[in-house]
Amino acid sequence: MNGDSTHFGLTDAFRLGLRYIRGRGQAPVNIASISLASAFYAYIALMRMGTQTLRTYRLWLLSVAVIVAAVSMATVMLISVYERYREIGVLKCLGALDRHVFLLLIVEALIQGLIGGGIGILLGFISTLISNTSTSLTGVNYLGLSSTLLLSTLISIVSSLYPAYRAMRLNPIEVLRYEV
Amino acid sequence: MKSEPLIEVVDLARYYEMAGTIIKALDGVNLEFYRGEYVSIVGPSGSGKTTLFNLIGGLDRPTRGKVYVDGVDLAELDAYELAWLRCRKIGYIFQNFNLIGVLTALENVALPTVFAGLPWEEGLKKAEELLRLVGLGDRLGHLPSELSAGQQQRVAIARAMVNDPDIILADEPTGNLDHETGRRIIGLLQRLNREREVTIIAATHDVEMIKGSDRVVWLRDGRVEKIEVK
Repeated sequence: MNGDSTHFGLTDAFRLGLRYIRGRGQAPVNIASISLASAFYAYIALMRMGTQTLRTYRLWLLSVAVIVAAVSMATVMLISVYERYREIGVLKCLGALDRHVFLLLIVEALIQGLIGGGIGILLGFISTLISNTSTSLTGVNYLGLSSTLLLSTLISIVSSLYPAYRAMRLNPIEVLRYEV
Repeated sequence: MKSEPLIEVVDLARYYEMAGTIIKALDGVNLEFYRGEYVSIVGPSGSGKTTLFNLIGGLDRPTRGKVYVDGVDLAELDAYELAWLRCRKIGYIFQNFNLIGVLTALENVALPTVFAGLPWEEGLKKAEELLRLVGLGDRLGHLPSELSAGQQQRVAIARAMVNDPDIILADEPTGNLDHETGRRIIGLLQRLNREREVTIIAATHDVEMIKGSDRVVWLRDGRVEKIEVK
């Protein structure tokens, strides 16, 4: 034992995180909920509103979209951690440190946030074009669109902090004791 | 037998408190394990086998006593060094295989090499070699759910071997297998023990599974009842 410890870098976290996103039923639910929230957000952000009252109203709608997305994301991530108790315990048995587990879950959240945000922007943009006659392609609020992606990623990561913390703190012997 | 033990367990005790009563999972165990040995630990469930494994693997801290691995007192290691120990020195095999469900057999075996700092491609190459060794060369791309119980346990054995550990801790490796499959898994472990000179400590409550062991340690109520040298 030479004071060296175990490794698990960003690339490794992306590789394993992508496998989990592809292989588990939760990920599509996460991505769908982020997509919907970001679509809603993008749609509202793209709306042209003149009066002060309508601007305030828009701010309210945006906040609702953000909160709904964050709460559903946190719930699904927590479930995903509970369902993976044993696997997280196994990772720790194989040499994963607490921060490796944390990194893995945050990277999963990041990927889902990016995918969900991307789909959301597209949906929001399309529905704006369809329904909002006052918007034309030339007058697109690109700042609003890119802020959607930033926001979806941020929501995804922030709402995963607590689930990831819970996962990180799991004690492998408690977890592996649940023998069938 | 060589003089320097690979693992030395001295007066090891682990008590748990459960609903106000003290449960003595291990209560003063002294054991030595030597390089290249195959040792079976036999005892009924609740006799302390898993607790002993958790303490040897540094997953748990003892209430009293010491565990030395390669002469190093585990109590003196921090979380980082213990993770390194679990990754490089010790391989685990569990009763219910505990493979990662979203990874293929090949990826499951390669996973510990990531923690050991090996590049992924190299890890995969090593994993493939080991899967061939345990007879699963044609199942590399299968998910655990697509494999039989016996095959899953062979993947788990390959995973336990992939970082060339000195020690393999097998906790009831045949507990979820039918008798014939269980015997083949034990046969495989014993072959790896001979060919690769890895020390294997296998817990079981099935006395059928102790044939071919160098020594058999009988545990009861957290104490060593007897040690048989074969």
